[in-house]
Amino acid sequence: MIAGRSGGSAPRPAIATMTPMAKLTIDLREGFDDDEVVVRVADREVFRGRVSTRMQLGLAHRVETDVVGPATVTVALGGATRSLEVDPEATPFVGADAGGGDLALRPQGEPFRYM
Amino acid sequence: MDETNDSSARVVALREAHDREERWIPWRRLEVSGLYAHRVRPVPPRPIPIPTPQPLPVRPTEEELGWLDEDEARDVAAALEGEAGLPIPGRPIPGRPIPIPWFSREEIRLDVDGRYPQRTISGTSYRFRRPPIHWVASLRPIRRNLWVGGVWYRDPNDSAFPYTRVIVRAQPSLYVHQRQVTVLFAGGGASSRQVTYRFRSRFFHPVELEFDHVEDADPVLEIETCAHPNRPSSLPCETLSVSDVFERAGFRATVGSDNAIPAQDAGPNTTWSDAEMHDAMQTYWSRFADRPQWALWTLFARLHDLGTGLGGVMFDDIGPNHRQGTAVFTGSFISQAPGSDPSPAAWVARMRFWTACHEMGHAFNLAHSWQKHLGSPWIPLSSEAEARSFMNYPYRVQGGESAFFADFDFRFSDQELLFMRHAPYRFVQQGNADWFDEHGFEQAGLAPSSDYRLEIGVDRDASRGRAAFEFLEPVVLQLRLRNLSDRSAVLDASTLLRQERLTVIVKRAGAPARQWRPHARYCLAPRSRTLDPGASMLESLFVSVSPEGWLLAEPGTYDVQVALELDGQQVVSNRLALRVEPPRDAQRFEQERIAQDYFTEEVGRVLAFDGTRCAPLADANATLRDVADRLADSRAAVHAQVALAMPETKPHRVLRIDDRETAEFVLEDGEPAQVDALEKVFAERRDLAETLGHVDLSYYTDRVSHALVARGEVERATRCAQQVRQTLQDRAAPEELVAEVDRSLAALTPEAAAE
Repeated sequence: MIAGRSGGSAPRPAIATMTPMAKLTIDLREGFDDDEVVVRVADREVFRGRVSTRMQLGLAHRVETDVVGPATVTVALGGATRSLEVDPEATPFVGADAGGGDLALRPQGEPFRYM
Repeated sequence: MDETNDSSARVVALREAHDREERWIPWRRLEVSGLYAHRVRPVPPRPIPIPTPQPLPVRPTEEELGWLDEDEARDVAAALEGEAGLPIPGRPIPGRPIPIPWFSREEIRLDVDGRYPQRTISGTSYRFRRPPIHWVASLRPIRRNLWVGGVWYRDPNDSAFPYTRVIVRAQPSLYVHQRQVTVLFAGGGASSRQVTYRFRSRFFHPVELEFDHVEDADPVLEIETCAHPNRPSSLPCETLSVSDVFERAGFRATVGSDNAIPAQDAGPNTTWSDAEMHDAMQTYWSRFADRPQWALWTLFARLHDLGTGLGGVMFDDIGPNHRQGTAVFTGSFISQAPGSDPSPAAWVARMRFWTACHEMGHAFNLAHSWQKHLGSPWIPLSSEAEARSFMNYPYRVQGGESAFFADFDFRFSDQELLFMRHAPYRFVQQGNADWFDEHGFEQAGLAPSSDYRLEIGVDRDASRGRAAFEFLEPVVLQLRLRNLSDRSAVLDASTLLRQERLTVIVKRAGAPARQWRPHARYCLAPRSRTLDPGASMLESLFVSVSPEGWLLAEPGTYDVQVALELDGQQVVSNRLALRVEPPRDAQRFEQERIAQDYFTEEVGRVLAFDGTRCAPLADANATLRDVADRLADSRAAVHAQVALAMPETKPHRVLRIDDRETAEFVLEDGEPAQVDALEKVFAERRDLAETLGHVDLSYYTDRVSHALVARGEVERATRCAQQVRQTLQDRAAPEELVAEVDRSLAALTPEAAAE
């Protein structure tokens, strides 16, 4: 807008609004033993592969992806599938643990810690 | 903790503290826990009469108690009276004698006092040619320095160690050389066995720890245990080092040098990947080797590629030897004290220290406390989710970190200590592999000094430390047994010919070791031979093939080692490095085609026996003729010609069966053409001595010469022998071999031909 013009202001041009991307980290943690795992975020497949937990860490594989706004994280292991609604602004870290043919997903705001 | 301390000074300080600990500590001299050993003079296994099978007696026998004094025997008998049954109930082994086990060295680890005693005794008995036997027993005190216990673990579980209970008596002393432990092994249907072990160390195993740090990391190798207010009220205030932690776990820890590693070794992203750490380990660790050893390396770096969420890792889980390298990331979450912590600097130092001990615990094959039941534990284990151990994450327990450290004594759990101290050492030792693969003859506990030295070699130069053999070329070793003493020794002249007394191990890189065995055993009349001081006897050994198959066939690198049983001892040779080359480009197709028929049991047998005229082995002879004709320039062709010619050097007894199935032995003359062909090879080849070896060349020359003389060809025989003699002399072959050719020459006379 040009300052100093008399009268009313010129109409503002439309400004495209962009929603920022957030990074989402999904850790496949304990209980994986050469298992075929599929990870989907917001219906988009972000990982497919065979993973095994490194016992000295308790971590099998890490998937990092960018996501816009809250999204559904789905982890599939054989016949077991678990989904979780995640707000990447609040809980950008999701941990998946396998055991007994089932999966458990857990979100948190801090990175998962390993030693 | 001052984070700017010079790291090298830190290592020196650790060493000095360790040395001070090792000096006069009076109460330690009255403790009996530690490593004890017993060395056995090997005797051949001999069956003993088997006891009549009967139910295992609950009461100890007179044999078991007779070695104790009256009061001790009464107390042991009372302790075992009505024993409900041991975890591994003994049972008689019917039907066959139980041999006295041929153990060459035995050691026990008595764990009844000192730091975190486990009331356990374990033992390892080393047997020549077989894996060691490992056993573990829990102990109950009977009276001072006397325990009884049941054997609950055996590996392998075989009849060489049938015992089910032990009676242990320790004899402490202020003087280490007088300390001993006597163990009576009983039960399992076997006669009891009593062994006295002498003190070796108050530690169960040694371990060498080496620490390096990246320039931008802050290593912590010791802490003040009372620096942080959140701690058990009973925790002693002391300066605790990483080596102290492992010494209290039962390891004699020595600390190695401390390098400062350039940060750029982490690559442009300044964080470390597992591969980069592995490269750094190979570069900076002074003890790096692809073999098991009680040694590990710890790197202090700033961050891993996984970011601040990874506080440390035992990264060495690739390649054939795992668990030798660990890392601590001082820029990770372990350096971020909670905002409410009353002593952030002490919190950080404690976490870095804790993480170092935790990762090093993984190098000893310890799992996380909550994972004990997973994988393949050495014994059934239960998880210890609430354990106050280095192997549990402090934030995983109920109440989190504050609850953990309020109750943490800077130690490993009893279950973990039991494993580290008493599990078969191959489960614990860093980088361990299967028996022999990296141990050679070490486990047999061979006599460190001997009056003899056994040398194995080949009569050719080594390239890059390995003697090279052509593809298809048989490998013939030279054995030399030398008298190292200052007095003459009288030995059987056939000592090196008695191949059943040789243990020959051939190992190809990356493959399990294999034992060579002879195709035949020879019953030889004993003949004495005096070996003067410094003198030696020589023999050859064709080691390429065993009755079970070819040991040296595929291209690659090999190691060979030999042990000779002599006067109740094992005399072990040097380790000989060899290389089998791939097929030569010019004749690759021919060599690989012939190899399909060459590397067979039949051809191996023919070569081992220096030829045959036996009809069932005609195909093997055809293959050797193929080698001699199509690969005439090769060294394999020399051996083929030898095998084809040797049976023709003298009349050969052949079994003939006629149409009426009547069998008779017929003496047939040798085929002159084959001998002539070999004579031509001897005249033209310049590599005879290299491929046949001096010993065999001398022998074959003698056979060829006498065959020629038998045909009246004295001049040819003499010329052949003289050529070989010159070859041996030019190569500075041992004098006794040249002398043998001289003796052969002297016998090549027209009179001998007439005979």
